[in-house]
Amino acid sequence: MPGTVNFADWSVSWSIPTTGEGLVISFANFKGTRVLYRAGAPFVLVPYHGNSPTFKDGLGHQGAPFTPVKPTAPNAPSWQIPPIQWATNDNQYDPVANPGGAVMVEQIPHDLLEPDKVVIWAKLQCANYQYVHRWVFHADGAIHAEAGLGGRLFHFNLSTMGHIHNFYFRLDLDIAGAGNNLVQRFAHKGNNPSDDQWLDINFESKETADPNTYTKWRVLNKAPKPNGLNRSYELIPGSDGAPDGIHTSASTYSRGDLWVVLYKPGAEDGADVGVTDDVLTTKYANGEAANGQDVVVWYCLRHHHQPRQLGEETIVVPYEFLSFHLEPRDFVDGTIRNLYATTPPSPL
Amino acid sequence: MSQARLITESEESRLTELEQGQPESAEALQALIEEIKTRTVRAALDDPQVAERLEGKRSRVVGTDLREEKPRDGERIETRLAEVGIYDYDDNVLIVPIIDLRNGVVAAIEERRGYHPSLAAEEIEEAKNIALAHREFQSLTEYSELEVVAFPARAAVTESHPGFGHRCVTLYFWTGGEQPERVSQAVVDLSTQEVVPGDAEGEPFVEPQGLA
Repeated sequence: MPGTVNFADWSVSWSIPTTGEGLVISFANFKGTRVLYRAGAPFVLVPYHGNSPTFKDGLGHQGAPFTPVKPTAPNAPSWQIPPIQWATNDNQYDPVANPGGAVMVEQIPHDLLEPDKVVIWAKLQCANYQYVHRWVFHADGAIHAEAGLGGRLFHFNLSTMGHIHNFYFRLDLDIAGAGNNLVQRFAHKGNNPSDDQWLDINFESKETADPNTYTKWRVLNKAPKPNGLNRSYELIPGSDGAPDGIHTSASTYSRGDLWVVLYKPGAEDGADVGVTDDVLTTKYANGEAANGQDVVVWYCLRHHHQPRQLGEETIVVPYEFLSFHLEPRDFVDGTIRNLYATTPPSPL
Repeated sequence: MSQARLITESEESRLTELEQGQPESAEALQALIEEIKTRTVRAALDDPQVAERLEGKRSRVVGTDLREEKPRDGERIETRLAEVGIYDYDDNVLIVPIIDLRNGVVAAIEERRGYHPSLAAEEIEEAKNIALAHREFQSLTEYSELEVVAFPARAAVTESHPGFGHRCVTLYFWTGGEQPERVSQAVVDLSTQEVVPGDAEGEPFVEPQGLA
């Protein structure tokens, strides 16, 4: 609720709840098979140099909620957004049919390099910041989850204006149905034969990416297909930094890259997270058995923002996007054909 | 509590149809959603347990979300739920009756402290009136057209602010017309029903150092 789009072999629904958590994707099916039950980026932790301020923007405790504006709203802090640009509903924006809508839905046909894709996005004000939640669903099965940064720098004190944006995504992947999940961690241990391994994560836990072993994770359905393989979706990390406090004695706000937790109806939505992610580690991922259960993963997409306060960011931060990818692995049984508008159309 | 369905089978079919017909269907979809929400709110407020919880409290319905829940054991389709957000200004907590729409019952009542949902129209109107009655903002009433933009204030989540933990509203006042201008701002604490300092909002009128 409230909208659904069918394009690029995807069927995807969206909404912006009144809770302040921003754009929520739900019931995402690829070629008629369920991939995502629900996904969103309900909050972002923003610690500044000097440890003050530290914001939690978005849902819940200590969070200034995300407030949607129209897609046509300027890249500006909240106080510069004129009254006419604030959204009145979370349906698809259209200048004639629904000028008050908050959500842009774009159906983009394939070209020489990219397949058909459907893009769903919304601009969300939070005091001086303007965030963008954008989801891209490709006809090859890939999903790009993106967080955009815009709006005004919070302050212009040279020594303390740097900060880190830690976007927390909650991903309820129901691969071909809810339950019977297994989360695995990939490790490239070397270049010897069979050095690439998938390691089972059997219990709720916090994970940290290791660039040396090309960490990625996947959620699979344990029921094999007729060919013996398991449908799965990989999560390919996209952060430009590690969790804080690991390599230094600095204060810690964001301690992990991924958390594996059990699905709990109407609970563990991130509202009770404060200005650190301790709740994810100590309360949500508290060691319950996860192998074979209905599993949710939280992923932190992290970016250090070193302001260009006397250069490109004197007025606002020009839109900048961070992203991570969800890629199918053995979700289908062969290469999907005719994705690109080449001559002849390919793959052949 | 009513045991009657709060959403009919035909409405469910209609919702599905309208969800897929956007953007042309957006207006009709919104109207149907509002209709369902209105009767759901009424059912929630009529529930004896909800009424008992709210008795003697200054409270207001601030929003309603419709959502689905995964099928439980033995069920084949999602449960359709509505969450009615009722803010209790005395205790500063969001009371959330969760309604099973198909069965017409309150499935649970949750208390969610620290949630700051979108502002209801009535809240914006109250905040505006509180601000305009304050000596600092009384001159704004001289504008023939005055528009207000409002959203939950960062003051409510700033520990050092007097409005911390309360229902606080940031108001931006704009002139009307084709080229509106922002003329003032205020932060109102709806829990205490007074204007409070706005210094938690990110120094909105301070220009960058070193710039013209």
